[in-house]
Amino acid sequence: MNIERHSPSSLNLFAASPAMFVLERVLNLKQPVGAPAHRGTAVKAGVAQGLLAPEATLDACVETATVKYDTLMALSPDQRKEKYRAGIPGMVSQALDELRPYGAPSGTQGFVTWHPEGLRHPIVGYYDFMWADSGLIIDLKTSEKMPSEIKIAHARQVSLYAMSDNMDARLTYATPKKITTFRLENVREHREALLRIARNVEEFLSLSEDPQYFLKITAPDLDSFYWDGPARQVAYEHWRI
Amino acid sequence: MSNVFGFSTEPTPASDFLPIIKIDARAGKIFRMDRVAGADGFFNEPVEITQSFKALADFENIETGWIDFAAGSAPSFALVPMGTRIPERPSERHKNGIRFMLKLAKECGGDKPIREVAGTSKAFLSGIEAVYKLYQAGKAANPGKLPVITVTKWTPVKSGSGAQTSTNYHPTFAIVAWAPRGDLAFVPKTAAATTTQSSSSPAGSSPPASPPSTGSTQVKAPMADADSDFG
Repeated sequence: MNIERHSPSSLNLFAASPAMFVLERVLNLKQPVGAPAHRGTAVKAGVAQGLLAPEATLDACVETATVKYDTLMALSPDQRKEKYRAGIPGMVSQALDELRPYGAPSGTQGFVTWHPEGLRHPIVGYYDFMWADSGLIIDLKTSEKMPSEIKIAHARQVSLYAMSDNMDARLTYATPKKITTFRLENVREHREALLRIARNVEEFLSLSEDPQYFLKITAPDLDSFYWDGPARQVAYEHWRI
Repeated sequence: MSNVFGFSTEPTPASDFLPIIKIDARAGKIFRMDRVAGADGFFNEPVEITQSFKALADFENIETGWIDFAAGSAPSFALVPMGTRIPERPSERHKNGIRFMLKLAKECGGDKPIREVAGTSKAFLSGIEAVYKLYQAGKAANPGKLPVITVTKWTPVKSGSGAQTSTNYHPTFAIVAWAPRGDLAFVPKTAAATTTQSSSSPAGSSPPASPPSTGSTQVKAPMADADSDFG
């Protein structure tokens, strides 16, 4: 097994779907990234441009995001490609209106690593935007539907980036038509949850050196969206269900 | 009476304080302990900074638990991050104590302003407890910042009776400003304790009454802040 570090996404995946964790992280059979995730990456690129260069026009930022999306989706069979592409201009526009008042960030896509004693591998990740002078971290999430509060998985993720408890960590959720920024609460507790899951992952992985063994102790929830599309076939091939 | 640190700070005879900043409750003084090269090697030279004391206090990362300041040997710490379960008392010599880092202001910091302070005396703990409550009250209004504290007065408090009477001076701290952390990087020293004795360990866990909320408070961009001398 080639696991040398944890990430918030892998730890959240372990919590959400141990079988998919086994497939992607233990058997190393990464499933295709869909349109929603690629749109998120693309919108962040456009917004980063607009924040770092205040003189950049909205059209230029949207263009950056769209080109990024088209590049990432170029080989994707995801049927939602056009639908999600259509949401990009609105998301970039709203995100710039929401975040430009903070000023130019001191860092974007910054690497964060945390290696608590006793944990075999570090937990690493990349924050979206940091304003160091203000002690502020903001992660941008794109979604079709506006949540009423920060999602737990996102809270765990951003808690890693807010390396000190007094860091003001926020999440900005952008839909094609709405945008809202929430302040993250209980940073330490969510980071502790991340650590607990990482310990559980290491305990889990210590059960065997044989990747195939983990197929015997997990089973996919085929009603979950994790197993939609081509993953359904993969589940059958590996678990025979 | 339990306090914010999880143990009592009622007045009792004082104990010791330790490096790197020493707050001497028996004298009502604060010293910066500098390492100085002498003929027989390095030694600690106390530099009194009572009057000029001003520091950026890392109250985000207070460690709490047990400390033994044994004379003639290195102190023994069994500390965990504040807010987690206090570990088992290592020995009868260990006393409840806390430790945190601070950055001294230019007027009292010398050439090594980033320091550590630890203590077990009730005078010290009660003083820190009071200013910590001020910090908690002001924290939300000062996101991303730490409090700048000074000592505004020392209050003599007698304890014991007869020949056993002693007087300690309880410091009253005040928050005079808030400033970004800057280069005051927290250096965790209690990872092992946290790992084995904090809530990370199922056996030693003290689960909260309810799961932590993630946050549903909507916020907007903050207003510009004034400069401070901690940069």
